Amino acid sequence: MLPSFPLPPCAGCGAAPGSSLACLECGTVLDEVAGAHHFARFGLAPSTSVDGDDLELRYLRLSRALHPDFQASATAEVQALALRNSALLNEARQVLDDEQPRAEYLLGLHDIDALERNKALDPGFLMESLELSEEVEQARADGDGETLETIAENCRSEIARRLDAATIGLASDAPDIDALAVLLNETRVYKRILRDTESPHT
Amino acid sequence: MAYSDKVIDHYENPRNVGSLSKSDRTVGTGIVGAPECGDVMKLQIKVGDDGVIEDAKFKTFGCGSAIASSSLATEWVKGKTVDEALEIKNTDIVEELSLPPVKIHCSVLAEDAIRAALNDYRGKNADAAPVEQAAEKPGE
Repeated sequence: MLPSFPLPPCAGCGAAPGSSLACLECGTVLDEVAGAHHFARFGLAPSTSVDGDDLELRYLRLSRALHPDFQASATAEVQALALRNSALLNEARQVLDDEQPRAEYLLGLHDIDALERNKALDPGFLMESLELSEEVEQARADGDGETLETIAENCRSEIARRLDAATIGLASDAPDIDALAVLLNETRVYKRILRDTESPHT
Repeated sequence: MAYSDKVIDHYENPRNVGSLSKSDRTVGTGIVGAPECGDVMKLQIKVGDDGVIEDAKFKTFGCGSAIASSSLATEWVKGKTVDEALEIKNTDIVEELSLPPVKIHCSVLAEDAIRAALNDYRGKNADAAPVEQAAEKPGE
């Protein structure tokens, strides 16, 4: 587990601000401390498990604090900062709201190069995914919806199995970064196959 | 438009789609993947007695740029020797297909696939050739 990002007291009211982007106590737009990550933007500790409802609530409170309507009388400088922080907030939400990008991001906080370093996938895995893709192609050509659904179900369970393992691994004290990167890279291949069962190539 | 005309042409009319026999000693097979888009690419070459690549096939599952890159790669390797084919660079593919920066990894994948196929071919024949010679010599 990674420690929480230490947020300095709010420059406006001196309270713990609850986010690196804006103080939830007094509404001051904050000039973000270098190194703050997406979790800190939501006032959360880095974790694979994020409560979606809680995230949404925090998102709404922060969007409100940063909204131009609430910054109408602020200086041009603060307005610009609020705009920049809004963009960061939206980016953070996109990443943290979905299990796969969240796990990838968390892995990146441990080691930013991990996914890139482990891009070369196991030949056996590639062979299997190629065969699975060929089955999808055949089933699509045959209009065989039943087979497509079976393959889709298979993909979903392979994705869930890997994401579960990544979640457990990332929560451990000494995660095996490279092994987790392989799991997450393989998940992306299964996601592509799953998309292919639903629609043609994008 | 995100894709160049050449990408669209290769995507809609891919050249050399298919498979060659993996167990054939004159066939080299390369299977590579790019997690960025979840692409998986198989590229195969068949080398003639004169050392020239006489046929090439590919199967690519992924985005249009990956399909176009591998389609182009099979066109380019045909008629080349193994050594000449090794000189094909992903940057050549990027240039020919006008790939945008976010799709450069597709061309890298195609170059990797060519290399993997050529290495597979060389591996098969480096092993097999000495054995044949050894088997023939006692009879001479």
